[in-house]
Amino acid sequence: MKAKKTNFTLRVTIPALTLLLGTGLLVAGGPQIPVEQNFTRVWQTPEGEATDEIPTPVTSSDCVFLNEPQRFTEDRDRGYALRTAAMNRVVKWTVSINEPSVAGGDPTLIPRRNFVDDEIFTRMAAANIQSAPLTADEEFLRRVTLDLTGRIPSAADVTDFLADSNSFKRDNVVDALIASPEFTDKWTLFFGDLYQNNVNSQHVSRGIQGRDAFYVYLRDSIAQNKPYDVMAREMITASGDPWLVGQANWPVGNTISMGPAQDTYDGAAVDLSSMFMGINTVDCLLCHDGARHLEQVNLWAATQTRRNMWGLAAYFSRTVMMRPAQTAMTGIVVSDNTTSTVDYRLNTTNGNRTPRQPIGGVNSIAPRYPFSGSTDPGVGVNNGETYREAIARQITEDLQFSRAAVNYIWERMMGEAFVSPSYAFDLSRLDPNNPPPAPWTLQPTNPQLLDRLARDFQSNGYNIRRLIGLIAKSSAYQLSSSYPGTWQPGYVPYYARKFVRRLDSEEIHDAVVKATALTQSYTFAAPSVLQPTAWAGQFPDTQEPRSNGAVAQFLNVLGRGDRDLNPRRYDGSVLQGLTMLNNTFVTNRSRASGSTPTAVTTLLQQTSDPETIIHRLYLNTLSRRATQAEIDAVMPSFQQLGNNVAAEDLQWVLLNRLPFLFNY
Amino acid sequence: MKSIVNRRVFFKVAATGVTGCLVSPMELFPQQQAPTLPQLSVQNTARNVIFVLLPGGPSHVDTFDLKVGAWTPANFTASTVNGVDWPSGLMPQLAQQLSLNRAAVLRSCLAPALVHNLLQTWAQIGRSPASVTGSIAPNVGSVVALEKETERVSNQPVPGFLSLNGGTTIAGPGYFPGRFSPFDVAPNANGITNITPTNVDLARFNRRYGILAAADAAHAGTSPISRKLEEMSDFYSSAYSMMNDTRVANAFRFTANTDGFRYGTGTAQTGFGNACLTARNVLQANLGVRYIQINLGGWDNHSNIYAGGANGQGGIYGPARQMDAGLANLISDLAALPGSRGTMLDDTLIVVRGEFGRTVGPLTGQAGRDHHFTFSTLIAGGGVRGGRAIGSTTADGAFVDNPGWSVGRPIYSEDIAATIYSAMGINYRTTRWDDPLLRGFQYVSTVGTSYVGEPIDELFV
Repeated sequence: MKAKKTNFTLRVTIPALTLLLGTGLLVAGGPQIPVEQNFTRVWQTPEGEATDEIPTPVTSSDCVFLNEPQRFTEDRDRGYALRTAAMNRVVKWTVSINEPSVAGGDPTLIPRRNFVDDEIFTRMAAANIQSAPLTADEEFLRRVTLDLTGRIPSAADVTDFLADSNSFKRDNVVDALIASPEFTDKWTLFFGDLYQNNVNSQHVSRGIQGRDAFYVYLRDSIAQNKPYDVMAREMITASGDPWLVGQANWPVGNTISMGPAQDTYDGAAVDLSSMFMGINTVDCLLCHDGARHLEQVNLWAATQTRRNMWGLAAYFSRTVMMRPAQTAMTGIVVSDNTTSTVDYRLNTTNGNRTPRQPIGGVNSIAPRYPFSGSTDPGVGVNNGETYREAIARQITEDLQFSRAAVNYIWERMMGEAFVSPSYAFDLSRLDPNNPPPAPWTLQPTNPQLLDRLARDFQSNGYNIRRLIGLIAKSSAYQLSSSYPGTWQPGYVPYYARKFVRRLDSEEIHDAVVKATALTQSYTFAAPSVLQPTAWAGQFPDTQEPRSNGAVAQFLNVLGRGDRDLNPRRYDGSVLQGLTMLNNTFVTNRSRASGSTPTAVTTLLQQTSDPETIIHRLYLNTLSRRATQAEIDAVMPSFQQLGNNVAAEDLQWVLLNRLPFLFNY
Repeated sequence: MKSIVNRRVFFKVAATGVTGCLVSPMELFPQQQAPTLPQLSVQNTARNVIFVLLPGGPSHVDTFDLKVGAWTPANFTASTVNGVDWPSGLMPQLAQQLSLNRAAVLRSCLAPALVHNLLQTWAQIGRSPASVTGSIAPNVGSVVALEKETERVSNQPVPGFLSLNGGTTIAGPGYFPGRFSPFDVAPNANGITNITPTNVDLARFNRRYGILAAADAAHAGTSPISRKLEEMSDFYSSAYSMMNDTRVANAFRFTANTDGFRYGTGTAQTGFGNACLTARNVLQANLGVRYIQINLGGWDNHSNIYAGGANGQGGIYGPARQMDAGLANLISDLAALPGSRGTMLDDTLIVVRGEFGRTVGPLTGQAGRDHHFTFSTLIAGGGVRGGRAIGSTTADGAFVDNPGWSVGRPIYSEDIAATIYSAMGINYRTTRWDDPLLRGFQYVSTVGTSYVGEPIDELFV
């Protein structure tokens, strides 16, 4: 393969003797710096100080590994952060990579489709940064089909789109994809990840029945384009048997085992604030105040107290979850205790959190909204509301609820969130009209655009399809992933090109199946009520198909995680390489003669013209036509080995071509 | 003993993109100070680790902490080996290893809870999955693989952390990069799945691969996704090197009806025996693997724990006999192979444990045993002095009555993790500053200013 290792130039600016280079490049073998062809890496400080040559070989004693946390998949674009304990600060170091040039653009000349483009290209122009050009039709179609439906386009989709002379064809295809049933699959999977729907986790056992019911709830909600605030209120206030009431699996998922009931109230506060508000610091604050802990992490959280968060958790202090004693098995039934007079009690010394003890003579905390964006900050529950109805109302009124949702979806579509990690919002660093004091800066990459998108989402009925369509139709989304000139990590917040993502595990499965037209039906074992499916994008969790261990293993190797402690991953592994090269899931689909016909079988029956075969296999698999060079490269094998063998080989090659695994 | 200079405390590398404002010249960082570290000593006696997890929770009073009562089946053949009470009928081969001073038992282990999933993960990540860093914590094996990556030499193509029969119980690499994931293999006599071409012969595979390499090379430089491509391309290249390294294929292959049977039942292979045999072969081949986790389930004997009676195939007999043969042959074979500090057993720390123990005394109404807090851990090799037990439980096995080590409390998963790190020469009090929570990820976590895990140094003296 192409990963020839030759020397490249690696230069870094180093303060005195302290070499702080830690890179993912320092892999096996320690002393050798693995190297990539065609790139020059120039290390520089943010101030652009002069660089020094790194002494080579760099040894492990000079270096500390730079990890690539799974959320930060774009880190080679973003540069690296290095921290010195001596300086007790983090300095961002950047690496620039000289890439081959492509024709680029003055951002003021990029057509503006909607307000997304106004914000993106105005900001880019003001910073004097060049924009990547708009992407070509083939690339656009593959990109948007994957992003909106989780599948690759068919060969006919590609050729039809290329032949379409309608000047609004990109908008039209976005509308068509958003209206397609596969759109529901893709975004049901997305929300299933967000709300962590599974059969078992460390703390929760929903059972197959609960998992199914939650899946069906999410699927139906997406299919009906239910307003997102309605979804949130339904989940937060859900009551009943979660085997029957799908949304009741959200509160069941809040359960924290091995501790007093307050641990589970805290679990609900954490899930509520991270999943719906993008605020993960509540987890910290439920053990200790922000002061003296979070000053340098989160400006808002530093001002918050544990008591404030108890006020948030108190909204869940009258939620009752129990498995009823009766003969028929059910899930853990959720209800509200409407007669209780007890709130969140400060009387624990064990469990998963630091002790909760009376403060200033107060031994019980009443609900009180801790976030700033409510219309009635500091207020708790209105007359006639249950506690959970109150918190559901208050968070869905809060602009932050809208910001968090927009940020999640923007990240999914654009590859780079406004606020990253997307659950790490700092409420004191969001308002573009009220920036935080130095040295803090506004947190989002584009505060104005996040604000506008959030208000737009809020004032248009929390319409998920509308939001996704707005993004997909923007020129910003449709930029090429190639960049004119030298790409700088500092360009990332400007979205000056499209960012690349590796496909989801399920997307890879479905792409292999769709490209080769060899489907198999997976059944869901009893007591599941779900219909068999051929598409991983329709699996209700990330452990299916339990009926086919080999395929489940294929999906696991590609990093789908477990919606619990093992998050979805996008980084590679040797096992992934071996799997794509040799797993019969892939190789059986490259055969012309198997028990079931594949796309290759059918194609060979339809034509004997090698060039047609080559084009079709490229269209089927990589969703584009072959270049002349690509045709010339494989033509000899068609001539020497015959169509059957050459076509099988080519199908296998295309499934293993690197671009197949990526959306770009 | 190796003295650790805490160089890591001085220079740390943080993950990028923490707040999304990377053009800022200075990014603030949590100033939470790590506790002041005393000069730390680690054992540094082991080169490799084999961690055997027994999901389900073996009955300690029927295995490593035998308590004899009216319920004990006669074919357990209760005996005392080197002063340790032992079911020599149930686990005869391990009895022999114990008598040869090759294994020790920690009988004062305590589980903090009795939930399978939670405690299985706890055992593997050395901390509560519900704790602050629980959600990002890597498997101890991923930490060892990362720490030992710098010792990798060329010609070692296999990832540092190998998982055999990991199934769905195996804990992942947490926030560490994917290359420190468990390399998960279902061992069998024919070798690793997917390491040999399928449907085509090697010649045709190589021809295909040549076309592929040429195609992606032509693509390089102009590809819009070249950089991400490179990373994946490296993994493809490694995969290809592994396929073409006969040592790899050979190490994962074995002869079913000789070695396979010996590690199995004598007349058949077992999944666990195959894993133990593969572990031996892979370590012997020195392919870069430093930590191997093997899972052996079947211990959740709520009912009919002694099923099968005299023949003893059901209940606890199945997993216990698989374990006995697989593990004893592994220990004995390693003890016969030359290592860098004596034998390969001396180089290899073997840790065998479940997530918790089971109820004691007479059986339940279901003729089984339910979940219980006390449990035992078997430890062998890697500098551990065998042939003895450390700590003890009350006469019925229900409570720890003597912790048996200097810290003076029962042994937790955190202590076992610290022991593994110490044996491997890893500073178990390392705090990494590259975690996505920006909190500092501690190999052994702290509560307040106290570390909650300590190495059991008594094992090594």
